[in-house]
Amino acid sequence: MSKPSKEFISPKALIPPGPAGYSHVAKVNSGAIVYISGQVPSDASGTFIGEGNFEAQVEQIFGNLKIAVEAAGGTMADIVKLNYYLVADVDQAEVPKLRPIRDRYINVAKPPASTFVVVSRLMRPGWLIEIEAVAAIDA
Amino acid sequence: VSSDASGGLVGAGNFEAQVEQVFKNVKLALEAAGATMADIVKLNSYLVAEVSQDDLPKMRAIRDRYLNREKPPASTLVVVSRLARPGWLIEIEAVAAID
Repeated sequence: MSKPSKEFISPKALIPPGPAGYSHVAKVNSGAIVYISGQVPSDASGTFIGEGNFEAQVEQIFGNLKIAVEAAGGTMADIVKLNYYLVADVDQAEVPKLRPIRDRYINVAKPPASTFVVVSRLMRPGWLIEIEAVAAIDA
Repeated sequence: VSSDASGGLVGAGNFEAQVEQVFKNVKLALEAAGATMADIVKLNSYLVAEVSQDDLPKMRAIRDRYLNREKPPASTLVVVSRLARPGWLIEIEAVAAID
């Protein structure tokens, strides 16, 4: 039997991810590696979506990531790494609101390895979060 | 980062000079691996917060001299509080795929 193309592992010796919805380890055994630019809350026309509305921005970004990974022939379940860049002026209490949105898009049983950091600002004032992804897509 | 081979900071206080040096360094790194700038598939830029928003567009003209403008890499840009060394205004990392 061949190995699965991807394995998502959370070793017992590391903190259980719980509601944070990530895997400690994403192992790619085969498939094409796909890099997706940091997605921002803009639609295809360049219109800024969700000004001052954190949840609306997160929704737009995950929608953009889905479009991007599908353009490469994959699905959201093919994402092996997510990097989140949150702007410092977003209230910490807003952060958990990201989870239910994320969980509608990713494979919650096998979530990607993830990194979450807070940055001073992003390219455009008003953008509250940017999320980039790496996917591995079976040939 | 904006250092030359001797370790000296290049372009103190000069954002464009630093961007130029950083792309030069990325090119040197890639060539050491047998690659060219067109082999870059991902570019992450980390800009320091003290750089004015108005200076950001100045990056583009420099970048466009180095990258394959027809097929630019996937990219992410964020603004961070600071980098490892005071004076560095930008750090850029790249992932390349070489035939």
